[in-house]
Amino acid sequence: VIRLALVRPAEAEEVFEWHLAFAARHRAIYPRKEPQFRQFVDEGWVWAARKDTNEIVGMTYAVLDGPAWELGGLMVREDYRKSRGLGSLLMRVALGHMLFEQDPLHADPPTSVIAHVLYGNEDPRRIIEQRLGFAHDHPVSIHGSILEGLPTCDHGFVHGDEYLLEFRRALLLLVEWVKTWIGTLRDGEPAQIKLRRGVTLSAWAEAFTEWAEEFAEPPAPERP
Amino acid sequence: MGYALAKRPVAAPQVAHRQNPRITDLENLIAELKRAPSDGSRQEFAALFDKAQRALEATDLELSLLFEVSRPTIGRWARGDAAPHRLGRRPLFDDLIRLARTKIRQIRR
Repeated sequence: VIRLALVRPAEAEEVFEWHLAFAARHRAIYPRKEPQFRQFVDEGWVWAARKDTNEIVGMTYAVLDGPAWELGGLMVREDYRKSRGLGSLLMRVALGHMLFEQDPLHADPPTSVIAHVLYGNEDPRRIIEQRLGFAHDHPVSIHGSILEGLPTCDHGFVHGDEYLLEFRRALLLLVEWVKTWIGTLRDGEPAQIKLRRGVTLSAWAEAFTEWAEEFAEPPAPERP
Repeated sequence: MGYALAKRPVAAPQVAHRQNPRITDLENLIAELKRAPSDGSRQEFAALFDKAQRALEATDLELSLLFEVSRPTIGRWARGDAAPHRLGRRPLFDDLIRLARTKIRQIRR
């Protein structure tokens, strides 16, 4: 059984070590500094997937970064990356949890939700575009000194793309997933998601359906 | 005259029983949480949540452990920077009611 849960402060050190080791093997992952990572954990922004044995097999986070929520940092252990669906499950849960508990859609003004993908890193693009409802917004170039640890071009810049969440499409995709998910990874391994007491995936589906209707475009006026 | 006095109905003796004001506050809070609509605005939710936290004299940490959310999330809810969807509010109110009842029992002991 795979269990998905928010990382608790007492687990921060262990999960940070796992993150660092993973980032060392994958150049597309930005290695966070420990104080920042601990802050993410303290804020309740980091999700991890563990096996029965308590081994970590994946993690991701949805963090409030300045004016926007950013979904990112998807890391899935190699043996769970063969189309088993753990990456998309982690990201759906992190996104759904953030939307349900923080409700950035009704902030004034609504807080946008973004994702960054490094140039050349194709793995997460399909998940964030097709499964989560992000749309490509614009390319981003940031000097390597700001994102230490990521590969740079000859001029010292890190290149990537910024994606923006399309709220209504994302909500409908989450509803569809909740309604069809049978509680397993694609290979049949059971997966459990630990939500706050009293909150269920069915409540998510109801909430997101309600919001999707709210975000529906008004019908076009009839032409004479 | 004396007869009249003797026949006057005697009022039941008043027991001097003044309730601890903190218990009264907590009982009022419980009543308010029971009545609270789940679909109030974000500001209404924040005001009630903040009021409950003060009445319960509960720290952010205590509430974060109760609700199994992060400590900063408690602060964001209390300030109105964020709010759970209305379907996630009733479980919070129910937990706050349980906490208030626990505190009342502790005071009475």
